[in-house]
Amino acid sequence: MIGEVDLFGVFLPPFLVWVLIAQVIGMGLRRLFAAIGLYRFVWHRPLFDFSTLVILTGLVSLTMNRIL
Amino acid sequence: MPKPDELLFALKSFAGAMAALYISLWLGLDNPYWALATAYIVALPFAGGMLSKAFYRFVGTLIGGAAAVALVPNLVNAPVLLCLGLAVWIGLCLYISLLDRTPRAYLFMLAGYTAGIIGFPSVTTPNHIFQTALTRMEEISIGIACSTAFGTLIFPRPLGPVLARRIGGWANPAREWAIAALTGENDSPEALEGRRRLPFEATDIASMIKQLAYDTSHLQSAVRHVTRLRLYLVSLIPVLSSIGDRVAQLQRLGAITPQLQRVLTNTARWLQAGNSEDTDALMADIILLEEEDEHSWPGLLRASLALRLQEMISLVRHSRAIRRHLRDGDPPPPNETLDREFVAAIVQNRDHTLALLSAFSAALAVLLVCAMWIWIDWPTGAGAAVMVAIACSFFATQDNPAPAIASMLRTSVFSLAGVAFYCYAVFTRIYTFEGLCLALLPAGMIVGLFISRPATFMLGMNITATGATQMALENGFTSSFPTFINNAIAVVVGLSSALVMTMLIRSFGAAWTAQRLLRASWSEIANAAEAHGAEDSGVLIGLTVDRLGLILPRLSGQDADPSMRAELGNLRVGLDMAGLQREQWLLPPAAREACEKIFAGVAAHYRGDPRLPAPASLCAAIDGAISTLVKAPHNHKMALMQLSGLRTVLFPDAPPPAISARTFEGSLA
Repeated sequence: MIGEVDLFGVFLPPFLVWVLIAQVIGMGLRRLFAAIGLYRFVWHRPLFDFSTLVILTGLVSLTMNRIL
Repeated sequence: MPKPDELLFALKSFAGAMAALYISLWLGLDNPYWALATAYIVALPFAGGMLSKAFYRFVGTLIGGAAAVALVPNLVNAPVLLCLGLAVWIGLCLYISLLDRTPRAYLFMLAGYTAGIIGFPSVTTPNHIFQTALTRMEEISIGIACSTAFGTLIFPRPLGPVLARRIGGWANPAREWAIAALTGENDSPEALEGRRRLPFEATDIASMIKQLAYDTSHLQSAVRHVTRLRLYLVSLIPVLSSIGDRVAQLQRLGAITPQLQRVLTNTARWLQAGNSEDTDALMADIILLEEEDEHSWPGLLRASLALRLQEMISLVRHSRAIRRHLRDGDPPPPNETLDREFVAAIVQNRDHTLALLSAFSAALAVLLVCAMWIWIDWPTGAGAAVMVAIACSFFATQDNPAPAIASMLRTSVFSLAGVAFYCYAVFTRIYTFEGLCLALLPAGMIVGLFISRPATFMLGMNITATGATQMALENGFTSSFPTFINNAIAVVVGLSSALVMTMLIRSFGAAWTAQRLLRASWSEIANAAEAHGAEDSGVLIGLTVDRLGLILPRLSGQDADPSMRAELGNLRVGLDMAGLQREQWLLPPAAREACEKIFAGVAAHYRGDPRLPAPASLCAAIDGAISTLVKAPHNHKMALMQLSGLRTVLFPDAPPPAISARTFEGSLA
């Protein structure tokens, strides 16, 4: 995670970008979970969502670091 | 004694606030106490409320900061113009916020006074305004992030179950009222309770549903269903009132046929049983009843009763499907939603005049304080201008904001004393962040406990609003006593001027507001009769029930039920008028002429005072139209229903109209 992402001249730390990407994926995933009723089996929904976000961020940053 | 969950909440809020303060200090931001104050301001007991407020606060700050950045540098050389600009901005935002009665109103209100918070203190250093706005934005974000992280990740208190309980609480009064209506007992305690409770609940629940979208419970994904459930409840109110009146009237006329009696008993049993298996048989019975002879006055009443029964059953059936889905999960409620003219639309009463008046009084109060600030060259006058804006905005939704502002003033004096104690007795000996946390813990816990209880919620918010900002925690001890006293005076002067201004311009009692709401709903009905305004029946139901929910808590005990019944009757008149407006183009010319007369008569009646009995000429016009149309009852069924409904409400005691028994079918036979 060295270097910065250049967004129209604004330099962003890559981690922020990875989190944002993970958040977008996570939003879709949450909608899917709600639709299939997964949340009925989840005790603590915010914690579940937060953990999903952490996992997704990890996945995104791993893949992006491999690609870039 | 505080309960464990209240203590937990206080502890969570405190931890969030301290984390926010620590991060801001660590990043070296300018006014770290903004993050601290924000963490407490968004800390609401329920997760849905907290997350929605956090989001609104973020967006509101963004808008307000942008306004300050746009206004201050351009107008800083003309202080009068700048004050005028900021005051108008605050007033405008308050006006928009008052039109929106959902929790989202906070967004607009905040956008207004954030411009003041950023703009007023920056007049001496206008070249730093962008930096100030940016810092505030950053600190608000930090405060929001910390507070919501602690609030939602550690044992959140979801809104969903609370809302589910409230929804379960409707079912009983609604069913009892429905059963009372089916037996024609309009004065029974059940009917009274239903009329009192349902409109209020329907209005009250609307803001909770808005927050539900941000909740942490599984109901969060069910907002769509809960919204529909509320609409069905709203739509049920006029239907039940209509059924009750029809049954009572038929009983008076002694015109309840055995067949009708059987249907009424079956419907009551169906409502009691609560399962929807034999619904179709019941519906078939009712439709049979409706097909019956319609060429006599009791026949008309029976047919329209059957129509209302059908509406009630489809509303109840859909509500039950949704409730089952919410409670047990599967199966999902039917996709085909009820979308008929008896289902309410999502609308809110908007009082432009009152909103303008509040906005005007806020802007004027801000301007006057600014004038004093400029005139006496007061170094901390900006603080007073900020406080006046906050106080005028905070309580603007109340009928009479003056007592609330007065109590905010009292609380502020106390919290200023507390701040003085902290600044000059405690902080002088504190050198580490850990020490600071320990020192603030008692105060933080007390405020947290206040916020966690609905009764003391505003008190806690007031302490936060003045305490956390006046303490002005910085990195290192910088407090100077003259500055502190000057700021404290600014707070008191700001709040006092808000109080005076509010008392002068907009201090109205609850009765006055109730009158205004009544007038608004009457003129809505007149508009429906004249076919301009909300001709859509759904909008009419939604608006009227919303207003009823607002009127109810403002009426005194014995006054409430008669005016409730009158208002429900008026709503039905409005619905009949809207229906007749749609229907009139299918009528023969003679009947249409009679309808024109009826429209004009009803409009005139509701433009005047509908509490007086309606003129007899109107009754004659209605009877004329009915006897014209009854010659072909099957072609003009809806119009006949609407006319008979109109007559039932406006002339409940008039003798039944003379309808010639000769019908179209009769003459053929």
